[in-house]
Amino acid sequence: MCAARPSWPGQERAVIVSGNARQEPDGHEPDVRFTLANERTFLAWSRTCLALIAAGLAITQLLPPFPGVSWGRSVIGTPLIVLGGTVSVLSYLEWQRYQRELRLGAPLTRSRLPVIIAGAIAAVAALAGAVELYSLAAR
Amino acid sequence: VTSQEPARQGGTAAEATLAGERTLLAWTRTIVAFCAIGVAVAKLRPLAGIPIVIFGAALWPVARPRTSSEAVAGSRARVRAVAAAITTVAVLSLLIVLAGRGSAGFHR
Repeated sequence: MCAARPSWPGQERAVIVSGNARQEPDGHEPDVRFTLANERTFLAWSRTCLALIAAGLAITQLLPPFPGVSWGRSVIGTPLIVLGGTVSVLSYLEWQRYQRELRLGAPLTRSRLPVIIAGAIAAVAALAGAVELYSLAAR
Repeated sequence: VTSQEPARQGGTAAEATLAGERTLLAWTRTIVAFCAIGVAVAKLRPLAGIPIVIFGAALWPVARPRTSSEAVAGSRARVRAVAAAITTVAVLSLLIVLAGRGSAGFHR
């Protein structure tokens, strides 16, 4: 199983894109279940994006301001909205890549989106903690 | 092998039907979330929020293909529409946050 894994990131992508896959995809139409599963995965990412944007809007618009830190809410909420928009584009690119790999019958390259989103959410959480501590100190 | 063939095909057809149903439910959840965020934006900026709700409602018939071949053929267009719409919502939200500290927000 280890042999099927690419030895460096993007290796399989490079091989696949080297064909005329971008204009007229090679391979054959995969089983409809795979197409539907890929679509559901994309939709799950879309909902995650919408949740991030909603959280960003709620923090900036609905949350009471941090005492002594007028910019606190924007600093926490704006990255969440930017993250939501960025992930929606990335999840479309992932959908496109999976669909191409399914057509070619190639092994699916592991997505990097989970690492990106986990890191970004951890960073925003750390930022929120820092703003809260700063607000306590400024009080 | 021959005797198992019809059962296997029947299983595959049933799996495809159920997969289609799960996909429709996934679309439903996404559209509900999309309309919910549209209502939230409408509360802050009605001119920006109402089109989001209308677009979300318009996605519903698009998300409901009649046949499996229709589902496969239209997949790219549907996925593109959603990705573009969410990116637009993110940009609108960013503009709301940056332009004026929520004149209609609950807290100034």
